[in-house]
Amino acid sequence: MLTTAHSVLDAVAVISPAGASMAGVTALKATVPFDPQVKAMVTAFSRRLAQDIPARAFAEIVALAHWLRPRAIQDLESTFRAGLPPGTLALGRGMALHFAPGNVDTIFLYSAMLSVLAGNVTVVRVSSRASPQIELLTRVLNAVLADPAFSAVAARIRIVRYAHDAAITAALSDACDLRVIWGGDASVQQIRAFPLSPRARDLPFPDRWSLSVIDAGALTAPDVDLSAVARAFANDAYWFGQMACSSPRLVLWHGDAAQAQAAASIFWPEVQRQAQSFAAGMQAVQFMDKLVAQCSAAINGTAQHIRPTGSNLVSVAGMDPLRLPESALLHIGGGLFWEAHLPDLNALSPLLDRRSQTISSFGMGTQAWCDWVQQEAPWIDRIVPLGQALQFDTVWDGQDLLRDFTRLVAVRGG
Amino acid sequence: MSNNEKLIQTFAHTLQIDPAQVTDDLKYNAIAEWDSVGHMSLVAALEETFGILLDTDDIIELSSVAQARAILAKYDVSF
Repeated sequence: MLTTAHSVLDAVAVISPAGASMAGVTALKATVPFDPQVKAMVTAFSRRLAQDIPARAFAEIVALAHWLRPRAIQDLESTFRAGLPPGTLALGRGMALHFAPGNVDTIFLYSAMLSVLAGNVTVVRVSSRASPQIELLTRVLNAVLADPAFSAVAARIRIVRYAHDAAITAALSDACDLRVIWGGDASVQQIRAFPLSPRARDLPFPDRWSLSVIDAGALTAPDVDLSAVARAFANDAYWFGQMACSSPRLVLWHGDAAQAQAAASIFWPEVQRQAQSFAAGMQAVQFMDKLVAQCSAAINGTAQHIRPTGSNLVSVAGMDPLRLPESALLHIGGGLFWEAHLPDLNALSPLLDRRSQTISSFGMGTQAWCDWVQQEAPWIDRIVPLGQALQFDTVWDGQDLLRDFTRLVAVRGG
Repeated sequence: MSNNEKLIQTFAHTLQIDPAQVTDDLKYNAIAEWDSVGHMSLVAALEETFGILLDTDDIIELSSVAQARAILAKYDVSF
């Protein structure tokens, strides 16, 4: 199998580090997490990215640089160490194979950097589609990995591209200890068809959907900065064309019916204003598709009303909450929202299913959410303030990624 | 170069604005250049210029030039 695997892997194009090949990669061992050279490489990458002028054009890349800044890595390490069970030592799992998604171009580096920090030999397959973000990120990563001070860690990273090739996916799957599959149900099912070794495990990231819950009373309070709230929501919704798993597609108005009506009537026009900066990135066909989606929903009875918003940059339709969550999955992105009235939090958990991921919320309060989670044990993975829906977190889709990327050795003495 | 000059230069260079705009009452989100993306670049540049690592709370609090000076003072950067 080994010789076969090697020759098959010759067809893999390594895009980072520059000039590297796959030879010998599957034979490398894991190390301890947070190795000093690895931390130095990650923070050098963050610094270099933060100073890169062309990177400023991409908010998601600036956010990645910020997330990997030295202080954040320090915090990551201390949280990780504090969470280890007594009498255990953590090590990387071995070779981690990551399949990056096509919808968010920075995920491959969050996944790769956490995997490298965890001590793994890290192979990441990125999309073959041309992407200025991927080109920029690999250019900066290659410049950092070319530093001789980082040669040991460079030998343990391979960012690769290859056309759909079953033999390569099979060989890599057979060789890896951990397979991380981003990109939704289709990718997960397709890649799961390739067997792992009996000791390896999958960490899949299937299709998810997300929503916002806004307290109508809080939004209509006199001291509220409505434009800041609407801007936060527009950023959550319009980056990545509303196609990220945590992009809100449903807005629930918490409070009594009159308050909910009042809040919605001031909120959407302000979102329309704040979303203007995203208008240039929208295509004519998206406006058309949104209109068609709204009209079909009106015809089949899912939509109770279509809210006039002027330009259709923001497309809002009222929905019968009893038709959730099935109807929330009728999603095409580009600023298509469903809204419904939520009289109280007890009515929320029946609207969720195994696929619901993030609630971005305003005016509810952390304690109310904690009580709700404990009482209802709802299908939700993440509750964050409005404006933070897209912020990557090491706890994602209900999993602590650093824990999943490592294994524990129990040393009880002897 | 004094710390104050370094601070003004870091703001001006990172946000790509005129140094004359960098006055004590310049506030986060008051100009298009200092939005959430500009803020993240600014944090990286301040950390680099002054050789410090800012706490998350301080990053959130840093919402004007005057506040930047007060926060940097906590990290032993004197003005």
